[in-house]
Amino acid sequence: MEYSEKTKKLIERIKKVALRQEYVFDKEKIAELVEKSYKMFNLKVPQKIEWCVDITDKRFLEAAYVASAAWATGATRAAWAAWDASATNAALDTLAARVASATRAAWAARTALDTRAARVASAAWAAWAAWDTLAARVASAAWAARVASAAWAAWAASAASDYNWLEFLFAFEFLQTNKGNENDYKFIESQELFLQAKEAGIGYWAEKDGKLYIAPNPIISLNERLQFHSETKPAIRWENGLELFFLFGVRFEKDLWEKITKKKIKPLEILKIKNQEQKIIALKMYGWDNLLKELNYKVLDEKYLLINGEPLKHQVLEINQNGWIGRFLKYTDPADKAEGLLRVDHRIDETKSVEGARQWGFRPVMRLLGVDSLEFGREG
Amino acid sequence: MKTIKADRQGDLIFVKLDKLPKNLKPLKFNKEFTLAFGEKSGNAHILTKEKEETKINIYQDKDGRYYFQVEGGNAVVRHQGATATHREFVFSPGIYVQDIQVEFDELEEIRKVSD
Repeated sequence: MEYSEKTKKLIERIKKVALRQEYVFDKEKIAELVEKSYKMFNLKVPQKIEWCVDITDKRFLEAAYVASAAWATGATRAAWAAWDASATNAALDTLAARVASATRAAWAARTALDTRAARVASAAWAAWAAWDTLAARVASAAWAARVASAAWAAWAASAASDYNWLEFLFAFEFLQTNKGNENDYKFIESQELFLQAKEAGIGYWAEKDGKLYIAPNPIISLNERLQFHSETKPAIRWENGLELFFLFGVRFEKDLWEKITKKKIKPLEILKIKNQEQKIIALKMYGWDNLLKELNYKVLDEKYLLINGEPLKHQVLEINQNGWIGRFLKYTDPADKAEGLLRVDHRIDETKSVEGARQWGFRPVMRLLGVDSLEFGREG
Repeated sequence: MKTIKADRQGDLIFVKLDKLPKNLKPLKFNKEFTLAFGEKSGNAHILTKEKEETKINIYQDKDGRYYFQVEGGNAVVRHQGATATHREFVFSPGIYVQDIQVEFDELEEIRKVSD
């Protein structure tokens, strides 16, 4: 990889923070860095810092709501404003030439083609990528609204306080071999302060009435596909605080997560999981063969459907377990080839065939439109 | 026997219509619209414009189904999120209804699939 030794060291620092598995929350250091950050941009330093256990702290929630986006009035915003100003100038004068310069273009191309691939493959980037995804996910209004949890909403509000490591690294590397303007250096300086704050354990913050509410960074666990995942502990956890359980990127309530990971779940319980994604994960972890071995089932129909040019196995299974009858379409998802189960109405004949069972799942819209059957076009 | 063509993105189905039904509630479309959201996965099916000049009007019926009218360009439905897998669909100008797959449930008879 062709970047400077200094940038390599910076990446190592980010990597260390991202993958840190021990709890760090150095309040004294954080307070010092916060003060420096505010002063750097001539912002009024908060009179007091209130330390929160996690993002569910009521005080933090209130502050986050009021601020709507905590960063809007904070030092992060100021840092980005400086950077934006720099970018605006760029369009007008010297920076424009720089942006268009062969050096930058070449570096950008390498970043896109080579360095990025290598970075994505590294565990550090995996961690940050997943974290960024979470931030983006949490930041979406939909997430906040649907989850309808104050904690998540607060997280959404404060998610923007995490800054952009890629921009930081890009600017840092660029300035190793190029001369920047005043704003470039101010930006780098501010980002260095934020990185130090991250190293000291800061996670999320929100300001209200002259007080700064700070919650620590959670410790996260990922799998090789960069999904939140742990079979032994919460995949996102705050010390003595909120714990969130994930398997392959899907969130579970603790009880269900425990049953699945400790192999205490019964086959019938898996079939009755209402959330499709949770059910697919539970089926995957339990194992199809194990599940079917333990159930009294028969195959009513089996076909390979040609979807997007690929033959994908579909079956209709009927399970009769101590009088409980369930008829399921066992399908292969055309998008990721994962196998899933969809329960259909066992009281009618049309669901005995693969085609009928597939269509049954869309019965309400078929009724609405007054049609007898569906011809699937695009699927994916 | 009446058959109709439909596109399917995961649990979502899209059918092109000739006209909008009556008694729909207009909803606000602001750059993008979440058609469905996976509470546990955080993945979402997002309706958006392919180009800025495209106009999308969105409506909802009493059962919660969404309808969208696309004019002056294409609409795009993307599956976004950490575990998102479904492919992107482009919808040419026209009127579409979108619904969610249902699953049998003894208590509720049917219920919309949730992920």
